[in-house]
Amino acid sequence: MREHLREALNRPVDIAWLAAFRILFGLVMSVSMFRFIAYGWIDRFFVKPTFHFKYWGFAWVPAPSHTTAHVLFWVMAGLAACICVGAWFRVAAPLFVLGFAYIQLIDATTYLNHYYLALVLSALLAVSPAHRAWSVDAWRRRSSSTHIPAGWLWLLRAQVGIVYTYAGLAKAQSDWLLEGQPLRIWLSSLTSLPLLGPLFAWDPTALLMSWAGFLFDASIVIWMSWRRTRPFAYAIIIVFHILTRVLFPIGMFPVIMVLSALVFFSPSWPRDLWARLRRQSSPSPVANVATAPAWRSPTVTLASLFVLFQLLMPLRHWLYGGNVLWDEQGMRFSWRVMVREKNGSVNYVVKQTSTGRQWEVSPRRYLNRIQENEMSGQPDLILQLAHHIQRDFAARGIEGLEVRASAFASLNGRPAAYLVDPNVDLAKTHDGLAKADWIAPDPHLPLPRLRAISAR
Amino acid sequence: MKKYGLVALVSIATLVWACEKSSTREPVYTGKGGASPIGTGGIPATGGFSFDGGGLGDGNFNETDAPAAPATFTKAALLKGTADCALGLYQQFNTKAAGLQAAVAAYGAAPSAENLTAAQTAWRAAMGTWQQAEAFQFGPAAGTSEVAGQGLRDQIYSFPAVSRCQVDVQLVNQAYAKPDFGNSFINGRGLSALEYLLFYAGAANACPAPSEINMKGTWATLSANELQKRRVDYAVAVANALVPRGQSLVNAWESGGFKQQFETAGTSSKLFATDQAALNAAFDGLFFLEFTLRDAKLGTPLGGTLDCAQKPCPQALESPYSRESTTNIINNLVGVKRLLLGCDASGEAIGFDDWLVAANQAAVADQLRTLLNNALALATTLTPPLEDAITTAPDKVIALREAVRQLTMLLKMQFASVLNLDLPMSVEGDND
Repeated sequence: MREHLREALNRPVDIAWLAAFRILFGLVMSVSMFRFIAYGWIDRFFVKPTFHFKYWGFAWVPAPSHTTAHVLFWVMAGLAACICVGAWFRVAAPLFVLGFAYIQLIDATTYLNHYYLALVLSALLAVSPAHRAWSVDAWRRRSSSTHIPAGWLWLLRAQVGIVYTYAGLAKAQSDWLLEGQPLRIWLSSLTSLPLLGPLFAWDPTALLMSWAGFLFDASIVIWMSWRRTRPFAYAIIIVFHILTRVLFPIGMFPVIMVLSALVFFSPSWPRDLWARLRRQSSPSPVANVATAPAWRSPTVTLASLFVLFQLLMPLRHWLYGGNVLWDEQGMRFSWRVMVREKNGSVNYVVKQTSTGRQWEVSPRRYLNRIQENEMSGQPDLILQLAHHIQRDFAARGIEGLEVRASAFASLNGRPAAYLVDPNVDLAKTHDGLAKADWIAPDPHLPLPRLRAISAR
Repeated sequence: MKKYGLVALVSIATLVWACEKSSTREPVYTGKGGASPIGTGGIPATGGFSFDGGGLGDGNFNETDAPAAPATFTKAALLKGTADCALGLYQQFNTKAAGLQAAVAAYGAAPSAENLTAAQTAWRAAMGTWQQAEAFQFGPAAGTSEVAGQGLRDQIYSFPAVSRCQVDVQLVNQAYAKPDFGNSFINGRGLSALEYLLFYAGAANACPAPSEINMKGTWATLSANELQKRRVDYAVAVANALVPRGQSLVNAWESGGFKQQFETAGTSSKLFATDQAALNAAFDGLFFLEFTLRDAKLGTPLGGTLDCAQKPCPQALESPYSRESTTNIINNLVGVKRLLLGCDASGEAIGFDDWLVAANQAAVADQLRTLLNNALALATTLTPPLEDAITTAPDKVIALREAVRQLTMLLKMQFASVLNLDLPMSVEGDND
């Protein structure tokens, strides 16, 4: 069995798909870095905030200075360009992964699923032989590979497949499938769009689109895996992601998914496409087969562990119980894309136990609007700020404090409810991987029945 | 085959429904306040405010023009109603600023007690209207990082970025007499500086002992007459600088085309790709309620904060010299009411509440009206005024701050959710 698996994973496949993926991915990442530079996001997200939220276990990651941050993004754009053209790939790609991981770790309020996906894909690329064809490196060494072990193809397919499938499974809940929420909320604000707008004012549209989104995400991997349906499925992928890009401000996510889905095509698709463009009946045959290093046992083990991690990580919320969209335990790194509309409001009450003195502290004292908006729906971030407030008071010589949060949230338009137990002293509460009993459970309030409004 | 597909879909839906149904059996959190934190009880909704009373902005500038909510709500009508209301307030402020300029000029020409009273009355009238306009901090009035923002609000009234010490420093160095005074630091001019100059006649300055004017003794060298003369001249300069700023704001809306851009959002507007984006901008400007009104105007003067440990903290009051701090708050809330419930006094004109009703969210609209009226009632019946209440009746001030907090909570959560109002379209995300 193991031999069969290793044999299958080492079956030589055309390297063209991986080289094309490297070129497109590097290009998109380079554009992405330039967007940060051009839109002023570097200062807004990483430099100007006086306090940064950290991921659990990564509180030690320092925030960059103004100069470091700006230099970093220019360097990252250059590294992404190196990945694109395959120049100094073995150095550029790992450095890009490290730099991108660092950017993600600076502030947890900047977390987006597509940034996480970009990080994972760039890490897979960095260890792959993607530079062995159609690259500056191959040209400089005057040697290139024509084939690579099929394991790389299956690894990328597994990763992209997991993203789609879990994004579909995340929609298998009553708000999405029975009420069409939160899509109903979002579409109701888009009724002024030309052509599509009037459709969004039609009541059944939200539910129909919710089901369409669920069925698309949950089944697209099947249709992309089947040769007969693949071209139609890819056309649907393009239409789907263009539509999401038009309707929602989701940045580079649609572009990344459209290019990632190419891994489901035949490994020779770039050669086939090139042949068609040149009006040849079939692609030019590969002259001499030269295969990149085979997968040995350690590689197979590492790849298996990686896939296992990706399969289990999004399921961890089952261990916590409760509604992950409410308590957020198990929310990140689980491909729950566009499944909730959540707004919160937080205020802190700080009490000095020895004197009884009390202060009401607004989060805006420490956060900008974007950070406050993100924090107010995520209990672990609310806890982090409570600890920061405690430290700030201590630095002013005010010690022996209890910090409580008056934190409320509204999920998918429901009436607001307590998100954090207001009686818990957060100063003495620690974040961790265990179930957080200081988070108030989802009160299961009824959903409001929204009616979309015609634009004019 | 189709049958199987249909069966599969129905099965999934049933399964999901069953799972969700069973999950509702989990214990419901019964912490303090339960699941409905935003109260609706308390002061009767009728309130006690008036659009016409005393130092309040008269606010009836366009009651006859304000269109009643149409039978069928449209966002286009809301955009127009909002734009008309904002521009109407700005125009009204302009008229009053011109009156203020004339009154202060008359006081400058003949500094009599009678002329001072007339200038103070004119200041109250202009301030009353401006405090209502504070609810409309979007477009040219907003900061330069916002859509079409020119920072004109701060040029007219920069609270809480005000500095009485800066005014005193400029009294000494006579910066107000320089040609570029209109472009000097915003905390040394505008309506706040004018209040200090027109209502305060004391000999002391507001700067700390180690400041330059006290260390070098330059303040002490000013005689009472010289100080008075400089205050009058400074007031004239501030009033003169105020009028062009107000006119710039009106011009930006009219000839600058912002009104048209706002009203045509989602169609021909180059500034707002969708009507929702324009309404987002108006909504975003409302958050002065939280940071300026609740925290700076009510929270800080109560004292015991990190910024002012003493309790109370009268130096943090918004208008301590004119004793108009309460009136300012009432006018702020009237402005918010104009934006959210309709520009006319009766609330019949189109407002965000009509949007809520059209979106089948009448209960949220009712809650909004109740909370807004509660806050207004508490502010209107705040006796003694804020300047004394923070000392003698802090509980009343705390109750008002709590009412404003509940209003902002509703706006930030359920109101924002059901209308899909959010930060301006400058931030991307995937709602995760």
